Amino acid sequence: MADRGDTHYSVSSLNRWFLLSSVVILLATVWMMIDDWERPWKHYQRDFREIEIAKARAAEQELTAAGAAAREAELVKKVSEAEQRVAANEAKIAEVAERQRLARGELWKAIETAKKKKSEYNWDRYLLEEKRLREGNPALDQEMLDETDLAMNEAMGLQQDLEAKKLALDIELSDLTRERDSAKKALSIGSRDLEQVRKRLVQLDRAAMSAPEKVADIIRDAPGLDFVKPNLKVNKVVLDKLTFELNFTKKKRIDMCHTCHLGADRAGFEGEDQPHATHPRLDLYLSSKSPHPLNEFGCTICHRGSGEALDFVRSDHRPTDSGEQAAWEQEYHWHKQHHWDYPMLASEYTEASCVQCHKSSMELISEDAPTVSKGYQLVERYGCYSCHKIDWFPAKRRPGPNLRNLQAKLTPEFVTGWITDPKAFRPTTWMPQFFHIEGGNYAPGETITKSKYGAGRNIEGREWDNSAISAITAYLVDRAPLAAMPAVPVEGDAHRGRETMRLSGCFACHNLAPYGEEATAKDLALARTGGNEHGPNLRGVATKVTKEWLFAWLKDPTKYWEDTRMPNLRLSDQEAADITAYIMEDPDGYFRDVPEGWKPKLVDMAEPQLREVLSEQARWFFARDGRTAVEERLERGEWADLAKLKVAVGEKLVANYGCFSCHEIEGTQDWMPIGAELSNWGSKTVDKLDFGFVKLDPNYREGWLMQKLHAPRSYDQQKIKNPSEKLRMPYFGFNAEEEQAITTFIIGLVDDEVQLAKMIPTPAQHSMDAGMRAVRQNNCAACHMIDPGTITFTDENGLAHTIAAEIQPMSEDQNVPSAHDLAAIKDDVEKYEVDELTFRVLRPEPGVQKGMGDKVFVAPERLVATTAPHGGDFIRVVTDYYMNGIELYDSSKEGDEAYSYVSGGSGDELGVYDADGKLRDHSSEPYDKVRWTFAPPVLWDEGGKLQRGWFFSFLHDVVSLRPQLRVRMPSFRYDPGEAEAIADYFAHKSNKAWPANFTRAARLAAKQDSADFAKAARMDMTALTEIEDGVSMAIEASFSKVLAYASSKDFATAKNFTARPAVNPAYEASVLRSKVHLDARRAVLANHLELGEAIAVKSVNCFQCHFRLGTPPPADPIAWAPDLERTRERLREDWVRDWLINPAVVYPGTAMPANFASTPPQYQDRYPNSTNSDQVQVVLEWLYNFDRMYMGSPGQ
Amino acid sequence: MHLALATLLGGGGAPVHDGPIAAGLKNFSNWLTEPTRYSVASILAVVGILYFRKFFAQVWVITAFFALSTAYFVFAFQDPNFNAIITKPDNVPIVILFATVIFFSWLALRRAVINDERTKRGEPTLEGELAKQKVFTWPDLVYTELICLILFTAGMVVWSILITAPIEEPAATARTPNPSKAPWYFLGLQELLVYFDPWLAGVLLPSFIIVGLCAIPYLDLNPKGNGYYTFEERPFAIAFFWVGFLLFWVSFVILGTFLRGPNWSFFGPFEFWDLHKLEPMVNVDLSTYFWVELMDKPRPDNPFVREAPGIVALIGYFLVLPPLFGKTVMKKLVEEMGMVRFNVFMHLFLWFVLIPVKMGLRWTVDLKYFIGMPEYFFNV
Repeated sequence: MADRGDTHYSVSSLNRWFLLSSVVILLATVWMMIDDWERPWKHYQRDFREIEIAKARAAEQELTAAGAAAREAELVKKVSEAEQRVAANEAKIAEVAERQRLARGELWKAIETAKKKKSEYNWDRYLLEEKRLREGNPALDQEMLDETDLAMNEAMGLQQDLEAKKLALDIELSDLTRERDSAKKALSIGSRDLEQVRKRLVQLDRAAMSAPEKVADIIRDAPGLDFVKPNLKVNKVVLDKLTFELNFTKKKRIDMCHTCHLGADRAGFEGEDQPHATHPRLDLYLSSKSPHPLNEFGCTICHRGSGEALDFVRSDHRPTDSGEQAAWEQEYHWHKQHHWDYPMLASEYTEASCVQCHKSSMELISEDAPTVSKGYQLVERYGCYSCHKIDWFPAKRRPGPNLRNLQAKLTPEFVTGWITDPKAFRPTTWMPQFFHIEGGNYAPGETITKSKYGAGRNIEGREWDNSAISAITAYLVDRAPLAAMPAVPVEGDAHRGRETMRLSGCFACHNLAPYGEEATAKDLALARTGGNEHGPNLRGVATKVTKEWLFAWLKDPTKYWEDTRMPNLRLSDQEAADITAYIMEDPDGYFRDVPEGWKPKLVDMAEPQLREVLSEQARWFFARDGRTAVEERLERGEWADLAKLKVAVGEKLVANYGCFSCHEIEGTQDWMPIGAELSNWGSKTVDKLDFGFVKLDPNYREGWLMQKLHAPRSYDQQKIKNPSEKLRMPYFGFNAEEEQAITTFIIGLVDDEVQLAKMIPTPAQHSMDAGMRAVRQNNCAACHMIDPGTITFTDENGLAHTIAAEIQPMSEDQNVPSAHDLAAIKDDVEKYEVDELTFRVLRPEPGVQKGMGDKVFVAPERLVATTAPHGGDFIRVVTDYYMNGIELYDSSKEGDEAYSYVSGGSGDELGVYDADGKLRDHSSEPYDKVRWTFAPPVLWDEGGKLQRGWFFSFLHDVVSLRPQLRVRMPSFRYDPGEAEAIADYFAHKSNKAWPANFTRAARLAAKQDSADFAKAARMDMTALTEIEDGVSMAIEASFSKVLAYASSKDFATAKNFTARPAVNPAYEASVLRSKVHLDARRAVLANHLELGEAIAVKSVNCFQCHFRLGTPPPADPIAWAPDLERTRERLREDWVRDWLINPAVVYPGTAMPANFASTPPQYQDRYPNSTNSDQVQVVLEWLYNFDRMYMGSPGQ
Repeated sequence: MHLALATLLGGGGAPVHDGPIAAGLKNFSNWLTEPTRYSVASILAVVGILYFRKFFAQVWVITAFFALSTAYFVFAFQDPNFNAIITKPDNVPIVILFATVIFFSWLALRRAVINDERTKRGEPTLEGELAKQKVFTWPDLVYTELICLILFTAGMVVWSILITAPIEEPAATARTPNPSKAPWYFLGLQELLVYFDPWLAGVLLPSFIIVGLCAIPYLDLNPKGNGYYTFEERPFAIAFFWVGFLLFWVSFVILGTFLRGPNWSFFGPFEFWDLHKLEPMVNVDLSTYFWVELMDKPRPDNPFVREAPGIVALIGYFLVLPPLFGKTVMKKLVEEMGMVRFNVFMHLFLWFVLIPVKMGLRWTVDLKYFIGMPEYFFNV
């Protein structure tokens, strides 16, 4: 625009401004597009593409190296040869092809005509139908319709002719080119792998693309154009079931994490750096076959963090340590996202998220989520739930002993010393320390300001704590008046007691671990034979308890403490007295050995001083009673007696510190727990936590918890607080690993607003979980081996195999080396100078081609790893004792000479008193024999072996199956459902279905309660309860009908179903006993039971080793075996059949011989023309009708 | 009372530990920005600037002010706590607001000073001179507007590239953020919530602002100052505007943005926003002062009797003051405006004045309410 000269602004200058501003906005726009193109996630995707290309190229090269390319070249050559040969006929082919082309054209025309004619016919027909209906004449204008019909048929006929013509030409043409076509097909099959890689490369690698593809690929991701169909794009999953609670509505979770973490759900990127790496557990997470596929679970439900953010910092990534944090701050300007309530969990805490869904299957996930599972078990063991409510937590038992009868067990001096510092007496105790915590409540130098009444004086921390301990002791003693314990009725013998204690199983749960870290070789030798931590360490125990209490406790622990985990070992008076004598007299020096510095004594304070401090404490803790009332009581009234003052203050302190949460104390039953509820602690936002003056940067919930567990009262530091307001959590002395485990578990306790996808366990999972918990809590695995160990080795071809196996002794007199420690095994190899280790296969594995009990020889250098068996440590202890006695150590001697063995009974001989009271020496017996005879049985396939009903009743009412065993199955006090859970657990482990589970499954599937179910299944409630409780009779008899009902879930199927069996079910459980079976057998073989008896008794002579109706067998106790009378109610038929055929397959190493294995079959004199299986069958029938043969039972 | 004094003398944020000079400056800033001092200082500043306007209207003064401010800003920017608040993406416009409002207020004041001098000399005002000249719509208006539009758009684009919008917690009524801050332009009103009940601070006072603004053309009959800047011709109106807008609106926006942290607690600009900071809160109703301290009796149970002193005081304030002023100091104003206009104006004015009065009473005598009747949700 020209400058007219009469404007205020010069137009040319405005033009220049306009130009400038246009350039500025253009640049701004370009900058915007580049900024968008440069977004970090696009970088990651580009990088990932490079990695993919490199991988594809590597794969291509590998295939080429493996000869794929050469094979392909050959096939290509064949194709070109075939093409040449076909080309010789080119003129002919061209001619046929031309004819085919014309025929196709004609056919197309004919098809179109036929279609048209058909539609015309349909239209005419419709019109005619309507006309006929309207005019009421059903025969109107038929000829017109016929005409159209004819035209249609003609057209369709023509179409068919032309189709045939074209088909003939197709065949002619393909005949001519067949050679070429088949060569091409062979090529495409032969180079399929290579072709796939190339296809991948063409998609990814511009170098492998054709020019137009390359241009298209560039345009797709070009700045400003990449909104159309870009390669680089945001990936997201929308999770319908996993929601946020937002304004009382449920917002779907949207996770976009795999926009950057492209390789997370794909195998093959394991070694890459983040964000490209494959998830470390694709078997569990993300992959479509895993239980948590990406498109159903996303990422943030476990990892937390902001799933909708595409920026490194915004998505709330979490550094693992301060070093990484500093690096991130430098590189990404990382900072905590203060407005995101659920920051990403650091990797060591990620397992916390398992808890939100798996509350009902914490045991089942223990292997895959070891940290959180450990945290869960620690919370259970330390009883956190007793002060802090955790609503779903399954255990509710008080973790500390009952104190109602405290004085029968302990002296007030001990109580005072113990409260002062429990770990001073027993370093491994889980009783925490409440007083004298350095850096905690009252440091020694700290003073507690005088009470708000101003009547007292400022008191030093140590005085305060000591007086409090004194008051609590007085209160506890006051609440447990001394009731005289009955005297020990018989004289005990310490030496016999030692043997009894060693052999009856005490050290399966208790240990005698030495104090401190400077354990001597002697101590270590002891720890080796008693490393279990289930019960308390028994060192020094003789200085703690009274003789009378100990005797009563051993006889029946539940009398003193109903909830104790200590089972009843059914000791006779003599046995209990012997053990008591052994512990109290302590010939070996363990039970009177106390840590240095430990001395039980009352608080050492002069009475006026103690009174003064207690008065001040009373002023604080009785503040609600009013100042005058407290002063009156102090000066004139009821507290004139110091003892009364102590008890009064003690009660307040017990209430304040929550002693009553863990210990049952008379009169405190209704007091409320003192801790904050933890049921949904993990949902607490971090701003609700009081960090006090402890600076944690950045502040996360996990850090808060770690600090709390590490130094429970540190958040009080530098705070001015009244004594009654101070933090009360005691010091547990957790190590860093335990703190982390507990933190992980607590962080996982979130309420449902975080997610709503609860895992609903199947009845099988439910019973497995409950069973595993019961097995763990009752410490079954201490004595019994629940699962065998495994070994991993490489074969001649370098392939690795893992099999369940156990190591064989290297020589006859040598013990089985433990599989716990690979290094130890290798040491043994050197010691015994063998070239190979021998293992016994305990579960067959296809790749190894070995069966149960077969031997595998592995040279030590080919052994890669071993895993320990689950449980059974005590087997070793018992077997060692029988063979060697107790290992003792004499520190004045050196080397091997320092070790000697002492047996329980006599001083010199290596002998053990057997059940019949005779001293026997087993030191020259083979290890296996001693082990199978005297040690607790292994439970690998116990569910497959035992009838569940019998198992259940056995757990409740233990009977002695092998009287020669000194070790004994204790009588446990089961919580409701625990024994069933154990029986169910083993049944499930062996893949045996049980009615109890089916009834539960059916109830759950039909969403019925027990009463409805019983009604629908036409059984009475008692029967259902019995089934579900595992009472044997109901189960076995009702099994098939319950099964039918359960599988159909249909009430009609269950009609006529009654759970009450007609005959005595305890004896009719087995098929082999049923009338139907026996009648059928008698029809074929009248004397089958007698035949069985003849083989079993006269030929094999089972009673040489097996008990017969309670009569001991004539053999030495080392060969004694269970009473055959129990077989029918105890064992499953299938298992007994396998056992009879080849016992070594069931229990490799057992002393039971294979009696029916020879070819040709034996015992033809007893049972002519019988095969081995015939013989097994009659023996089985004899076994299962044992009562009919010998006891005159019903049914005979 | 003692608390208010204590806060005036000491307090004002946790002490900073830095180098001696830096720490001194930071501690002084924290001390000065404590709400009581901040408000008092703001009032004094407004009064002082208007009174010494000839001095402040000089170019070097504003240049020096901005130079010093920039230096202070650069210094303060090094501090992590200050930096964290200032660089929060949605606080950046408030920093700009701070500079622009001061600059344009100064510009208006400067022109007013010049105009007043010119008027004294009998010359026309600056705006009066300009008004004689005419320009073309195109290009002088529309073209320049277009250029501004483009540059502004480019500026916004660049802004959006450089400063990403903040993402805060998911909006959930059950879990509100702490502090729940109003949009920046309402932060002044939110500050009033410290002193008044919500129905007053959130409903009545804003309504009076709107009604008052609507009423200005009908109340203000003075033709002076129309279309040009002046102070001396309209000292009351302009001072009123400065106090009302700059002080009670803009400066409270700044206070609310930068100095109010978690729990709406006050934090000095160099202070860490500690969630657990406690503020003394022991305010007392007028009725307590009257019955307990003056009469030495327990407060009566009947709320109307109990609150009678406050009711009487407020009725006196609103009903006695206007006629009293109308008869005495504002006699001339009543004549000019007429009774109706005067009364409407006086009530709006008295409501306005009630704000600093209540604030002052809160700071000095810890007054909670004139009338405190939680039974009827009626607290003034």
